[in-house]
Amino acid sequence: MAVLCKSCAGRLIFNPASQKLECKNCGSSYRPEDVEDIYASRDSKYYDTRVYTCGHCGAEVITSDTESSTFCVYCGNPAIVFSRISREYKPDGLIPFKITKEEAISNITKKFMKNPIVPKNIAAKCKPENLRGIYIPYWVINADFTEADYISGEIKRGKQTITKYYSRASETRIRNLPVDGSRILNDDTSLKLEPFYLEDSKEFDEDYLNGFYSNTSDLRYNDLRNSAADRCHKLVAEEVVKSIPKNNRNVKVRDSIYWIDIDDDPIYMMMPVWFFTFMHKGKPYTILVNGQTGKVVGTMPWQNSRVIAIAATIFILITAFISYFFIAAPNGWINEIGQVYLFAMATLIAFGLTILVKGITGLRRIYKNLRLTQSEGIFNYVKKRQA
Amino acid sequence: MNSASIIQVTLVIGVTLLLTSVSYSLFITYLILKKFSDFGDSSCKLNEYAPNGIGYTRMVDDVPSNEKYFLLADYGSDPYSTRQHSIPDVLLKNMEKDKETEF
Repeated sequence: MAVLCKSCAGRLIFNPASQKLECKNCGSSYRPEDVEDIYASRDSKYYDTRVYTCGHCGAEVITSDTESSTFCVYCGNPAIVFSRISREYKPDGLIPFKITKEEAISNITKKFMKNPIVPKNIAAKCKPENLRGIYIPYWVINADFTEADYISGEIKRGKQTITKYYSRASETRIRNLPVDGSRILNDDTSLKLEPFYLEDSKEFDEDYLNGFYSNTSDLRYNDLRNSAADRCHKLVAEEVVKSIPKNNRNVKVRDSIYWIDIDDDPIYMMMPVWFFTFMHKGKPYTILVNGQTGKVVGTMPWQNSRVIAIAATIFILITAFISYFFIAAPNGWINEIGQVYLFAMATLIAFGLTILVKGITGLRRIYKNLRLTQSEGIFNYVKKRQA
Repeated sequence: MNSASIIQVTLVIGVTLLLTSVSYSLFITYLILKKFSDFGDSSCKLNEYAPNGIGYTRMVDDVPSNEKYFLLADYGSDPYSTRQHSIPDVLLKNMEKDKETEF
């Protein structure tokens, strides 16, 4: 619950810039570890929180102080109501916010707002009241991890392409791996927020939560095992592919088996994240900022008309250039200059067709990221939780 | 070359050129969206969480295409199944909560 200023009994808020609790009334400041919370017991495994529920998406948002929530930080809907006071398990530690709200806004503005394709009205929405700081639950684990992979690669021999197969098995000791402890936040999104540097972590003290929201871990042990195993598999598979001889192309992990054993007592941590939520054309968007490093994660909607205009201009310019190149070939294609032209043209076309795949794959990835930003994943997780 | 084959060649060249233009414009559009709209790719690598690196226990090149089955046979069972663990209170509570909702 809220801690009050010793001088004037005003409300204390944690300021990431000074790393101190500051009183809005008289300006006094205190180190969190020096402030005694009369409601909290040092030895208690629990701390009290206020739970708000969103009437739109069902998400539960928790505050540890008296700040009332005015809209859902996950879906941006204002239909959020105070639900209850809840006793939650104390995390083992947390990384305090280092990035202030102003810095988070500045980072988002720098990345998204000064470019020609993001709709101008979104810039107006990027203001302090649309930004919320939330402590997201994470589990930091140590583990033994065993993985076996069956990999294929292609080698060119003259005009022939031969498929070769490789087998790899490994045992890896994993240390301090953070695993997202919330089923609401999509694992792909939380992965992008990393790295979090554990050197800055502090023993849990609820005073750090003043002025911020928090969420508690809703994972079961098997969920944690599965998330951790999937995470380790991605990291190991990426590394194993590098062990395949370099003359292989199109290297793919065809099949994998992996097992994880998490050490006892994984550390329950809270990591700081700024959520910028807004609605655009009836769809909710959530841009995240790592509250420790300032890394911005998310995909902004773009103005279709501008992107189509840019793509069409590029298309016309390239078509005109290639056509001119083709028509302007001197004296047909059979003399020396003509042959150089032909070679240049063939290269241009071959390269163009190669990047076609890259372009399509890249665009698909951006659309996937856009869907993640549109909070659909979060909605699904919430719905699952409600069920 | 008769006129039919000239038309065919021109068509093939035209379609190829068109496809090339589409490729370039798609790729450049992707680069523009990537630069201006999409941020925050995952950048963490294994060495950040495994200071000792990968301990390879098998590293065989050019195996037969049925090697997959031998690999699955050798590594298909949980090597850690006999280890016992204590589960943190928070995770236990969540398991109980889920059981309650099931009924």
